[in-house]
Amino acid sequence: MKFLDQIAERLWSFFSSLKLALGIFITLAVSTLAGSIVLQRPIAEPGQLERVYSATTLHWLDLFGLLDVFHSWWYVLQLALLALTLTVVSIDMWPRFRARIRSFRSVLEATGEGELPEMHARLNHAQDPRSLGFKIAGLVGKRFRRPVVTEKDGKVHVAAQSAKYAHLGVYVIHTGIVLILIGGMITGMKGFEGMIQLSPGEKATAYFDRKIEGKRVPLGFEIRCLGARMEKYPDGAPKAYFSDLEIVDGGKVVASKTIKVNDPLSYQGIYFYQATFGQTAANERTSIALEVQDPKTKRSKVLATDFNKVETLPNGKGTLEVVDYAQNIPLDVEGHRKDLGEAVKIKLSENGETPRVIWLFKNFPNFDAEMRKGVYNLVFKNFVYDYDTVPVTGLQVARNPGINVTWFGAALLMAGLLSTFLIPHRRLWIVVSKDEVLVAAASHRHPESFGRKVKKLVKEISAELLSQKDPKKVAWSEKLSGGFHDPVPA
Amino acid sequence: MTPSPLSVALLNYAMLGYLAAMTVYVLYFVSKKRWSYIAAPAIFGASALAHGTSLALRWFQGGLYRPPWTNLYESLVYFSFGLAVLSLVVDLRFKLRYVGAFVTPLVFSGLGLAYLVPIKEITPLVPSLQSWWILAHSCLAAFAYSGFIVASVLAFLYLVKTGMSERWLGFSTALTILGTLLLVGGGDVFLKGLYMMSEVVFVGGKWQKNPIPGSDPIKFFEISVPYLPQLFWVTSVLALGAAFLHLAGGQSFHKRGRDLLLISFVSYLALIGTMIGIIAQYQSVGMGSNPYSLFLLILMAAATGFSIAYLYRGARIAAKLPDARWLDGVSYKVTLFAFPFMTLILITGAIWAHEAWGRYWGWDPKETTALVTWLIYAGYLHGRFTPGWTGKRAAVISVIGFFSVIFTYLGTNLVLSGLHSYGSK
Repeated sequence: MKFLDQIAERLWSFFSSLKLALGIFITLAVSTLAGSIVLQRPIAEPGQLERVYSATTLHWLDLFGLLDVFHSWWYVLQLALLALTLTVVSIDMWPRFRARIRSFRSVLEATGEGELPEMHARLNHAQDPRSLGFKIAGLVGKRFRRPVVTEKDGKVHVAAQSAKYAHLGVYVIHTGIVLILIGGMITGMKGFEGMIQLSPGEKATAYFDRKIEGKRVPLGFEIRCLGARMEKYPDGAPKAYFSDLEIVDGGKVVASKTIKVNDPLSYQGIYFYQATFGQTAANERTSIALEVQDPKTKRSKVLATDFNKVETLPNGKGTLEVVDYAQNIPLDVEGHRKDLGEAVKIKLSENGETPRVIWLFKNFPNFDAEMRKGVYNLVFKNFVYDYDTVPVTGLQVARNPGINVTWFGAALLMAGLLSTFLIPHRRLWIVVSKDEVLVAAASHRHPESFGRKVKKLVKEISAELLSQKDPKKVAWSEKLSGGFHDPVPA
Repeated sequence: MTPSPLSVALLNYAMLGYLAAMTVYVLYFVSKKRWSYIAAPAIFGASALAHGTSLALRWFQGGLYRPPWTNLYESLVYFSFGLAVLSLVVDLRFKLRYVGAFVTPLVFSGLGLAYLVPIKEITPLVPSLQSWWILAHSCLAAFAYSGFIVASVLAFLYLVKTGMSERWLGFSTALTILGTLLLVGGGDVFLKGLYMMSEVVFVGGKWQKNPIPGSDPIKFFEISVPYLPQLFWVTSVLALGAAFLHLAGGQSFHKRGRDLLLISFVSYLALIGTMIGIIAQYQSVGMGSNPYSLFLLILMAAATGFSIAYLYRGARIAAKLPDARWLDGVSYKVTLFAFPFMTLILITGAIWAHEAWGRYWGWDPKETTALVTWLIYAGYLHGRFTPGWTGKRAAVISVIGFFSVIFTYLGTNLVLSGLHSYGSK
C-alpha cells in the first residue's frame, strides 16, 4: 500500500508541475507547426499531395504520420495530457490560492522596515490617534468598500481590500480551456460534416459524408431547394450566392430560409451552409435532320428525327433509326490523317430486308448515293445538341453537438483572461500610532497603478488631515516599479 | 475602384515620414540629443496620422461594409498602421524612445512589402468576406500582432541590455546570411551561375506584361550575370566559416569569426548592389525579377548589420539602454495586453468559420499557425511563474514569438496554401 501511495504521489507531483505544462506547450507548438507546414491529407485537394511531394517524401511523411497530424493519436494524446495537467495543476494549487484569498488580516502586526510590503509611506502627526484613524477611514471609504477599523494596543488600524476573488481568474481560464477541448471531443465523436448538391425543384433526404467517400447518410427529414441564384458585381466577379431552402419533416414544412454565405439555415442542430455554386446541364435534347431523296423523281423530303426513334421511309418502303453520332471520324490514309467530320450511324431496312448499319457524313452529301445505291439516297443535313443550364447549389451540412460547450468554454476563457489581467487584488493598511501614520499597500498585479492611487491618498491625508503644506515631500517607498523610467535628457 | 489620389499621396508621405522618424530615432539612440527626444515621436506620430488618414479615406471610398483590410495589400497597410500606433503609445506611455528605432524599420518594411503587392485597387468583397466578423476579427488581429511585435522588440532590447551570447549570436547571424542566400539564389545561381528574370515586369507599382513580344504572359529567362554567382559563393563560404568559428568556441575564435562575418557582410552588401544594378538594367528592356527576394535580402541586411554592430560594440549599445527590469516589465505588460486579443482572434475566427463554413475549427494552416503563436505566448505567461523560465529565457521565447507572429500573418498568405490564402490574390 505504501508503495502504491508513493507511485500515486509521484504521478501527482509529475502532473501538477508547471514544467510539464510548459513541456506540453512546446511539443504542441512544434507538432502544430509541423502540421501547418506539411500539407495535410484532410484539407488537401485531390492529387495535390502527389503533385507537391515526390513518392519518397510522401512515403516518409506517411511513415511519421505527418500527413494527418491533427487526427493522429499522438496529437490527441497531447491535448488529453494538456487537459489532465490543467486539471491536476488547478487542484494542486488550490490551497495556495485559498490562502491568498483568505490571507487578508485587518491588523498589520509587522511594521518594521524590512517586513512591510513594497509600497509604503510614513507620516508624522500630533493628533489624537483615534479621531485621526476614523477620519482616515472616511477617506479610505471613498476608494474601497467597507474599510475595517480595529483598535489594538493603542494603535488604530484601518484596512481594506478589493477584488480578492481575482485570484480565481486562473481557474476560470483553465475551466474554459478544458471545456473547449471537451466540446471539440463531443463534436469529433458525435458530429458530422457532409455535402448535398441540389438544383431548384430538387429535394434530398440524405447527405454525402465528408470523411468517408461515397457514404450516404440519411438526414431524417427532407430538404428542398426552391431556388438558387447568384449576384454579380459589374465586373463579373461573384457578389453573392443565394439558395431558397425548405425543410419538410413529417409531411409539413417546418423551416424555410434563403441562405447565403455567412448566413446558414439550422434545423434540429443540423446546419446547412451555402458552400459552392455552379451550373449544370438539364433537359438535354438532340435533333437530327436527314434528307431522303428519291433518285428517280428527284423529290426529297427532310426528316427531323432523334436517337432511337424509328422512322418510316416514304411510301412505307422501309424504316430507319439513328443509333449514334460522332463529331469527327478520323481516317488513316497511307499514314496521313484525314478528318471526315460529323457523321451519324443509321440502322436501315429497305423493302423488308434485314436491317443494315450505314454511316452518313455531313461533309459528303453524295456518299450514300454513290456507295449504296439504294431505293432512297440518304443525306445527313444537321445535328443539333441543346440543353438548358440550371443552377446547382452545394450545401455543406454539419452538426456540431459540442459547439455550445465550446462557446461557453471560449467565453469563460476570455472572461478569465480579462479578469486575471485587468482586476488586481489590492490591499491597503493604515496604522495610526501615537505620532505616526503608516500607509502600506500591495497589489498582486499592476502595482504601479495602485501605487499612484495610494500616493494620492497619502497626499490627501497629509494635506487635509495633517495640514502639511508640501505633501510632495512624503517619503514614498516603492521597490516594484518606478525609478527605471528613462531619464529625459537635459 | 482605384484609391483616391489623396489617399495614395498621404501613404507615400507617411512612408517618407517613417524613414525620417527612423533616422531621428537612431540618432537619439546614438547621441541622446534633447531635440531628437521630442522630434522622433513627433515625426513618427505625424507619419502615423497621415497613414491613418489614408486608411480612413480608403474606408470612406469603399463604404462602411468594406473595411480597408480585406486583401493582402490592404492588410499590410493596416497592420503597419496598427504597429505604428501601438509602438507610439508604448513609446509615450513608458517613455521608452528605443522601441521606435526598431519598430519604424518594421513599419517601413510592411509598407514597402505592400508596395510590391500587384493589386492595390479597392476590390469588391468575395461572398465569404461579406460578414460583420471581418470588422471584428481582422481589426482585433492588428492589436494582437502589433502588441506581440512591440513586446518582442522590448524583449530583444532586454537581451541586448543583459548581454547575448556572442557565440550563438554570431553563429545564428552567419546562418541567417547563408539561409537567405540559399533561399533567394537557389541552385540556379549557385550551381549554374544563372539568375532568373521574368518577361513580366514590375513597373510603377504594377506587374506589367513585357513590351517585347512573346507568347507566354510569364516566361522566365535565366540570365548569366557577371560576378553575381561569384559573390553568392564568396559570401556564403565566408558566412559558413564565420558560423564554424563561432561554434568552435574560444574567445579568439569568436573574434576571428566576427571579422569574417563582417567581411561576409560587406560581400553581401556588394551582392545586393549588383542585383539592384541588374534589375535596373534589365527593367529598362522590359524584364523583371522577383521583387520579394530583393526585399528579403535588404531586410536581412538590416538585421545582420545590427547583429554585427552588437558583436563589435555590444557593451556600448547596452549602456545606452534603460534598466533591464524596466524593459522586461514593459515587455511583459505589452504581452499581457496582446494575449487576450490573440485569444479573441481565435474565438472570433472560430465563430466566423462556424457561420461561413460550417465548422469552427478545421485545422487550416492559418488557424494552426495562430494556435502555435497562442501556445508560444501561453508558455511565455506560464514561464513567468516558473523558476528558471524568467529573464533571458522568457525574452528568447518572446523573440521566437515575433517570428511566429510574422509567420502566422504572412506565411499563410505567401507560403502555405489554405482558406485564408485568398488574401494574397
